[in-house]
Amino acid sequence: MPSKERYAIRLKGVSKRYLLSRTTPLHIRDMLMKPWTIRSRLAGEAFWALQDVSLDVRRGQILGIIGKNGSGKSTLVRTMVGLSPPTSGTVSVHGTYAALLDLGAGFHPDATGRENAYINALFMGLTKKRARELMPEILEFSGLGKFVDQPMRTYSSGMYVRLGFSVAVHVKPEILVIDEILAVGDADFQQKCFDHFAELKQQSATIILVTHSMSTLREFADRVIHMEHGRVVNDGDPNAVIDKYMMNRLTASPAARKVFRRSLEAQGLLPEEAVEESTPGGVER
Amino acid sequence: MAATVTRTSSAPDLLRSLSTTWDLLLAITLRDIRVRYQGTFLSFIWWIARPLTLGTVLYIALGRVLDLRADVPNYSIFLLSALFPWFWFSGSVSQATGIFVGNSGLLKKVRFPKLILPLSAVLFNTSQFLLTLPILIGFVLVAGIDPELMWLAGIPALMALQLLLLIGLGTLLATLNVFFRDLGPMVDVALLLLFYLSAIIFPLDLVPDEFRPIMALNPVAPLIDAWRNLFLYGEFLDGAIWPALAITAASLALGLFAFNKLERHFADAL
Repeated sequence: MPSKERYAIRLKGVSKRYLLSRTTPLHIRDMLMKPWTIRSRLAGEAFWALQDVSLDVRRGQILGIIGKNGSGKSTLVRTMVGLSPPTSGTVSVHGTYAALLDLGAGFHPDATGRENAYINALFMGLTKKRARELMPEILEFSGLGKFVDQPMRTYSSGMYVRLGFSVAVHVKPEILVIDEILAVGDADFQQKCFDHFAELKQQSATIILVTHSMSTLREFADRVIHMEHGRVVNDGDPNAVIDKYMMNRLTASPAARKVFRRSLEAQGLLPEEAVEESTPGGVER
Repeated sequence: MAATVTRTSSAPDLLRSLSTTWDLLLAITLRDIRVRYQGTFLSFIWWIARPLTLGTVLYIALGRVLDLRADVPNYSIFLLSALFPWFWFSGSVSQATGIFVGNSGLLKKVRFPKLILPLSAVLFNTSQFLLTLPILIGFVLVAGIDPELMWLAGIPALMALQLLLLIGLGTLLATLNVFFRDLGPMVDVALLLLFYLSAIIFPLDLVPDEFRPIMALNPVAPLIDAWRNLFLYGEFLDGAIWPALAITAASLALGLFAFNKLERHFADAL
């Protein structure tokens, strides 16, 4: 039953702070040997993985998220699906969702593909009955053939993705979140996935795709946001956002800038200021 | 700074999500049983090998060599009726303690009721106890003890009591272990200690008075005593059951309280 809300996900002023000290657990060794460090550990150094992110994702939208490693993409999607509580701000999610954030999360290497797919479907909130009904379809879609009865430790990472993705799309979520794993699948399977996205989109499902594959986003996304240092620095039409992102990347390092400038020179189009201005925030770290 | 998260999920009402949670818990437990013993031809034998081996060794060492048999009638059953529940206890506790830390990948990437993990660890060990229980009863009967009507009430009641104790204790230790990783090895040492403090190998009356208070601190000792009284004497609602009941209630309350308080910090600490 689709929800009546216009937006699938709304984030308002969401920030996420990690206290670096808290991410490493307390050890007796430190308490005994270096008791003076306890206080500083408890105070701790803060790292803001997300800073004041506001984002409304419309129902039926395919949203792409791009950005460098460590720019907050994964934290953002984990916050969206409630796996990581925000430090401040509001997150509201309307609708059922399935998230595919990791290869093999929830898969037991010694259990068969069939068994893992079934348990995975239960993890995603299906009832036993529904999961049983869907099993043939899920296994068929995965294209794993006779390997579904082999233990998953014998699978390649591509096969992991096939199974995980098959389960996620058959759960028929209203919101589907996928964090950079489709790249592992082969071209055939990727095509199959994208066909399926189109189908899901017709049923006005919302799809959020974190990826480094710009061509995928140019083709399928309705909207792309570019993350940098935990902020959304650009948001809008996929081609526009991606072009600017690629441009910035090209001119990120002095060496790359030199090469870039030379190639522009050679073509007789040298926008001198433009090159200087477009130095991205990424290098000031 | 305020953070609010709201979710309007059109699908599951509470009842349905409870039933899906139960389905998932059962599926995971069954998978673990299958995976653990698949390919081992004598899987069932391995379940009962540990209590029986230890029982035999202890019987020879303590019963024959040190001649505890003189003080304790039916010493072999005295040992076994304590060892079977003890292995259920220690197996559950040590497996549950590491369960959140060991499944950090899953907890960070998939949303599901986290309590399922310690529950499945306890349930896994419970299934082993349940399947080996007939062996224990067999030994009791062979030793010449007549079956008592009281067993029909006592066995399920003590099992329920121990199950709840383990759920509480397992949840508590698994939760604390996320933030305090030394707990794992500490629990191993504590279990070793508890084994000797639980009066499994000797009767409580042989303990000198000055050590009694230490024995009283032990959360499993009353339960072990209750199991033994049930099988040896057909006694159920005797003295041992009440402290066992109190300890179970306390561990359950403490475990669920700690989990409730700390669950939301898991994402950052794992």
